[in-house]
Amino acid sequence: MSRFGKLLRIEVIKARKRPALWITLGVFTFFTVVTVLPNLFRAMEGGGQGPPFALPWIWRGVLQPPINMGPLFLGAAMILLFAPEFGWKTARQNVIDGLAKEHFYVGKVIAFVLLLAAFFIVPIVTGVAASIISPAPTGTFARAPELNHIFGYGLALALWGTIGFLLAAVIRGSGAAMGIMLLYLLVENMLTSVVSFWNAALDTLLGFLPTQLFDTLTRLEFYYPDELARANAMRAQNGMPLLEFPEHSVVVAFALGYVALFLGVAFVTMRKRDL
Amino acid sequence: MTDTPVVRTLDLTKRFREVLAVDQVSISVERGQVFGFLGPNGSGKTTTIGMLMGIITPTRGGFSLFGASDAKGHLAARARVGATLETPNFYPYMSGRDNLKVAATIKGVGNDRINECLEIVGLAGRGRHRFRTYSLGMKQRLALAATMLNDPELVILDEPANGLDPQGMKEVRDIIRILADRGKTIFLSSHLLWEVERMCTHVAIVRKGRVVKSGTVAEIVSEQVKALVRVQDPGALEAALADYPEATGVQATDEGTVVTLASDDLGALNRYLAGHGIYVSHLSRHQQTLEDAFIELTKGDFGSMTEIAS
Ligand SMILES: Nc1ncnc2c1ncn2[C@@H]1O[C@H](COP(=O)(O)OP(=O)(O)O)[C@@H](O)[C@H]1O
Ligand SMILES: [Mg+2]
Repeated sequence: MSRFGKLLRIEVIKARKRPALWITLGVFTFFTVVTVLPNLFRAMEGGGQGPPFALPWIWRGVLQPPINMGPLFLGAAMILLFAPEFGWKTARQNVIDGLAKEHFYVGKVIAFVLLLAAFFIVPIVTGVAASIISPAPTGTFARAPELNHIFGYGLALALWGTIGFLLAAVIRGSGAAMGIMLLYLLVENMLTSVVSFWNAALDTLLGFLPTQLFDTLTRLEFYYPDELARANAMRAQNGMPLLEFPEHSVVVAFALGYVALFLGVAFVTMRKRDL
Repeated sequence: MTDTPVVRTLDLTKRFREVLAVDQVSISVERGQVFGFLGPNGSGKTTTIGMLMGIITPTRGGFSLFGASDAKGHLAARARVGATLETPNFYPYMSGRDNLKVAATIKGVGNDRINECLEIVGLAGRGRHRFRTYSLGMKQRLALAATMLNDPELVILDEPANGLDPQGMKEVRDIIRILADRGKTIFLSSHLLWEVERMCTHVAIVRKGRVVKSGTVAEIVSEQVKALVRVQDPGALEAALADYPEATGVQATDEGTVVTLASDDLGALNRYLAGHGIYVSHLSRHQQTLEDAFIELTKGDFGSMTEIAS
């Protein structure tokens, strides 16, 4: 067996019988389906304004709250899959059994990629299935804005997934890591909302913090000009500042940068610390 | 090739912040030995083994496994080792068999070997049950099965009989003996003396992270000269011995006072004591056991050992 095959097999054995993992994925799938159903029913009754509930327009009706909670679920699932290995001392035993620490890490990256794929596929399959069921006329799978949206969702998954990955590697306890992940989410949101009152320039800068970036990546207005126009018209009416987003490429670059940074710090931590 | 030690450490040192857990440990384990790494709780046995197994980075010093002394060589050498550290470490939600599957995959061993090993440790009937549901004895036996998967040349067991009942300990001992008879090198850590005394060919005694003595069991026991002295007033005896340069240790026992001597001259001791107005009712060479040697060498930092010694 190749080294990759070996690491893959090990992670599959570990994940297969882990109820917490399947429950997390199951709950997410449930949420996804529940979010899509009302739209689907409306479409089947032949009603509703806005774009048809079918490919390619369907994505903004699928990849929207609470489905964009998927990344948080992935972060949690990653913690569940990684952190207990320290408490159980199984990471230690894996190394004793002959796995290099670095290979253990690579195994977890493989698990992360597989899990990310699962969390990515669930809404995609749900969207395609809903489109097939929906009587609305179906077009192509996705056009440029939808492709960006789908890619952005994947990136948001990677962002929170690697935050979970990093927390698991550093904190080494699933309860504490999960708590800190949620706490961080809260603190960053509080911080940015406070700062946005004082200083617009600083606010723009804080927009590049992971959670704000995640927020941008999961907003319909970021991908669809008509959504942006509608939102800003509403804001103008209410005297609110207009929505502005950085360039797509900048957001993507930052998100990828974070993913690399988190995985890198996790690697260095794994390598440096005793098991 | 046969001359290369299976394990050799050189000034191996590990500091955890303020705790110097392992202090310049230099030991050598040769092929075919049953090596006892012996010391009270907290003396650095687990930490030392942890460094050998690549889970703890040494602060200073180094080691070789089967002659390999760099990281890459260590990793390759570990394929020839089977080891457990402290407690049996397994996935609680997985069956014993699936747990062994993980270990077997890492070691590159096939499934047939899993059945064999479960059979050897008497867990064949419980392989499908989750690890969580196992008794401590079963967990220990599963750990033994895991170490045997790759038919290792070196077996490292950290406190293998910890928490086992007498029957369980006997089973563990039997398995170790079988492995030793097959010519495996065995590295055994323990704070339980009788385990070592019954099985080991060689021992190293550690205290507070330092190796205070190492060699064959016979060497360790016979090297020190001891005298058993009985007097009316042991307090006065101890006071007098405090100034006797040949006395390196004094220990009060139920039988009398055991005096460790730098030289073999009991007559001189007798004359010295008489000169200080102490007349002995009994003076004899004291036959030392490994247990005595151990207690002598690790004196002062163990509550647990005195329990075991009694
Ligand atoms: N991860 C750690 N962090 C801090 N101190 C540790 C750690 N591991 C072990 N120690 C300390 O190092 C010393 C040796 O521990 P250990 O190797 O477990 O001893 P033994 O196995 O002989 O009982 C003890 O004082 C212990 O408290
Ligand atoms: Mg120990």
